[in-house]
Amino acid sequence: MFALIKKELKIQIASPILAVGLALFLFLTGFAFSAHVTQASPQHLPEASMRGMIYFMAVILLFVTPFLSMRVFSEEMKNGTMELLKTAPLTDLQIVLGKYGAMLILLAIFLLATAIYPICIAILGQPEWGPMLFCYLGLFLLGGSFLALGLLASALTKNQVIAAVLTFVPLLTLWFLSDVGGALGEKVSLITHLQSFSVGVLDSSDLFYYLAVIFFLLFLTVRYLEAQRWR
Amino acid sequence: MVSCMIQAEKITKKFGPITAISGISLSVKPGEIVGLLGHNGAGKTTTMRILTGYMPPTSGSVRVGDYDLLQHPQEAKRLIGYLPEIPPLYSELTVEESLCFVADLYALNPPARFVSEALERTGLGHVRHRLIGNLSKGYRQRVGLAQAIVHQPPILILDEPTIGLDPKQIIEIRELLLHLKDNRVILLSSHILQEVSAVCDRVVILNKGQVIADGSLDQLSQNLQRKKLLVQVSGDPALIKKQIETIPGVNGVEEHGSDLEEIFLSLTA
Repeated sequence: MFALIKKELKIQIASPILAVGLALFLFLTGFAFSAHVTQASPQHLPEASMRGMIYFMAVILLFVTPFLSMRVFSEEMKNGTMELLKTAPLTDLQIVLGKYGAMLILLAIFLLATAIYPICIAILGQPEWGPMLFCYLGLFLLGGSFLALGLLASALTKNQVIAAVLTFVPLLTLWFLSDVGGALGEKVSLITHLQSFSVGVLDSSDLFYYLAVIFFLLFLTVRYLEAQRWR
Repeated sequence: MVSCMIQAEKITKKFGPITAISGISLSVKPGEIVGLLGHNGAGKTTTMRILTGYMPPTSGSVRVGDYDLLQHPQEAKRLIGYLPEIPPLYSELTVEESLCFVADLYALNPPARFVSEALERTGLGHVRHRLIGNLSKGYRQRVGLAQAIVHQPPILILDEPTIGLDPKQIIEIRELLLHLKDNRVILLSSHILQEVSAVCDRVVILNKGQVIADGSLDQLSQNLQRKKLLVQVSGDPALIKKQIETIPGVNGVEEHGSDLEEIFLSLTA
């Protein structure tokens, strides 16, 4: 499994998609951060927190994560390297966890790259680090859910573009469920569960929601890979 | 020591309504090089994919060494080195990185020693730092072979290892296979008789997903000379059969299936 994580990271880091994705992510979040800081005026001082940024960063993740996950299985199937993995002494669960582990490390790198913003806030004011960490934990879990769906979508098709679309469309639907789906939509929507994290509260139901979404999607991916063998 | 390194019993594989292979039984003893011979679509790749654990059979069983492939897939897979028809290569990695990855997949310790040995045996030492994406087809085939042998498996399964190579590269790969033989079991597939006769001790001929002949090259040629003759003809099957039956010495004509334009007939003397 660790071999797979190492290989995935090597290949993703060598790919221009990662560099472009990271640059885009930093450009957009940096733009939002500068707007967040420069809106300061004697009447309206910005908070020394990431609260104003978290939803904007979540939207950027919504667009960036499908590009990270789209090639994970699609590329292996297209190049025939899936045959190498499936005939190696690995279980389907190990293959999925190896791939997902590498994706989570990349997500962590993306989020760590934005650490410059809290550092700037610390220079300009006196932030509370606890709520700020919860903001990042919330983003990590949200991004982890996006990637889990991306992994499943990538296992469904050899075509990377289709995999990205199959990730993005359900994510967008889940995102807007809170607006159009009534009370049930709000419960199911991925974004409403970020609320508690954004205000620095660790609500166990929100935490379990994200973990359950990730577990369910990874379970489906493992089952799909198993089913593929029997076709 | 086990009597058979590979033992397949009546394996059948169906893809929906299509039966790719039907009731194939095959055993390979230690030290044997066996060739799976058959035209495209005869079921060679499907058979090999089942033997390597890539996909399970619809029915039947496979034993690899001491292990049942369905019951103990991880243990059985450790005994097999597999080179698919299209070598499974990561073009973004160097030759050495790729072999290190495979060594890590098999949890080899120390990986560097196994990688060095595989590089040496396949003659890839001088390109170890080159990206696989920049290598020629012949070298890519060698990298695929190096990946298959890096964990030093007692069984090598090679699906059309020389397909698409030029004559010089074909000779190089053949020599490499003979060099890799040692005490290994090698099962290789091809649709070219020359290919199989150059390296194999035994030949299994597949047609329409079934074994139609199994034996050493000598045995098969004796059978062909004395008893049966497998011929490939084109035209109206009924008419051809009727005409062939009139030839003195021919006691029976049996049809073994057909492609779009060609029919396989065995003539019994």
